[in-house]
Amino acid sequence: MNELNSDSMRSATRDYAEQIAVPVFDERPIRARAREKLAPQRGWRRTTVAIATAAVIIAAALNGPAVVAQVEHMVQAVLTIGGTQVPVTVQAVSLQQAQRDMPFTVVAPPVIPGYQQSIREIVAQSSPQASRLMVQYTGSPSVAPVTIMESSATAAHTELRIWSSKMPNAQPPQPMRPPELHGAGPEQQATLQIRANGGRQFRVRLTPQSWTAGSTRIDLLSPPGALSAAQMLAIRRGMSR
Amino acid sequence: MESIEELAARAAAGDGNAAADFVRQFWPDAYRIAFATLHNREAAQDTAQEACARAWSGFSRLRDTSRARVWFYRIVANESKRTAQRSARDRFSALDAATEKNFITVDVAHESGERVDLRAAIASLDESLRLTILLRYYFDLTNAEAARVLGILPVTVRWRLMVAHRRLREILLARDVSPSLLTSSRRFLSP
Repeated sequence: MNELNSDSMRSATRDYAEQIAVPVFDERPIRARAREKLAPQRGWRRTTVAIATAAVIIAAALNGPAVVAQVEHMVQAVLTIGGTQVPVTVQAVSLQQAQRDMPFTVVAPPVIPGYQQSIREIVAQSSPQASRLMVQYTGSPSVAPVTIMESSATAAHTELRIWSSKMPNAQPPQPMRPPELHGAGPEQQATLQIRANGGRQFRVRLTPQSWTAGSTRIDLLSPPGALSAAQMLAIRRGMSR
Repeated sequence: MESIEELAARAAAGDGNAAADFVRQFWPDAYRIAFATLHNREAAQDTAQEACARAWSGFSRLRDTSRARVWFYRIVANESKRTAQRSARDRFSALDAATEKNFITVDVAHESGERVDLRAAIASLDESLRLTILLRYYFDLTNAEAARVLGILPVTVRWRLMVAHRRLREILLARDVSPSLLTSSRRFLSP
């Protein structure tokens, strides 16, 4: 059976496509629509956090550092060394301050476009070697922030639980009891629990990426969908020098 | 010069300027895909804009930047399909679509020759066939890539191409076109 010549077909398809008069590109309506699409995600995140006394808890059992939480008004932490809980202090610092305070070489965290960065020291006075640096990036559409933890690569095994809370109308939250560890995953995994008083509870399992840069151990925790593979690779490269 | 992959990687990393450059660069493709599906200029422009906005706001979900073009075309094709379904529901586009087909025919009528006949024949094809041959022969996608854009199996792409060839042949024979356009080749079935 005779069929159309493929070259003729290709040529005719090109003619057909190119005779379509393409209107001039106008960025404004596209940008405006894109902004509208991003807005509900952000709104949902704010609502989720502020609906009630929302507590975001990370109970992690990593070999060394462990991680994370939604941090707004109050961050609390418990460090367990050899089965004993030791008191720690959590305070917001600048990068320069952290480089002075931390007992390991602090690797400068990268700037991620579109994210706001906050740095906190988690210091155990009785065991300075177990101190951590927590860098959090907020601004992604996901519920929990992207978090980078830095610690000494030579420190003994410790377990860190971090939790934070935020009250509606910017009321300071009441201190909470530390989270229980029953939701923690196996080693090299972290479990993020998000609870709202009287509301639903859900759990996100995170697999941190861990590597060392000199004498510093770095853990990157990225909630699903918050960072692309290219972004995670760029962070890892930037913090491996 | 920056490659598409590099541009997409920057956009995926949150660079708003890269996202703007990407959609600007692919705007003609977006419009052509939308128009080939809808055959209505206003609907195509609105659909292409909506698809570009979806891509712009969704770059953070783009995992494999080497497939950014296929990813983008898929967004446009899906958006076009949604518009077409909505239009069918609203019953407002039937007349517009007919008008656009006439517009294309009138546009090419002042030209003469076999290419014009074939081009007009393509315009008169069913939208799914028209979009398939556009992706394969104009955007030079492989069968597998075209399948990914359309959300169908590669074998269905091949089937659509075969049907499109057959329909066009029938149209051209009915118009008594020169036999020089017809050949015994079945090369369109190659991947």
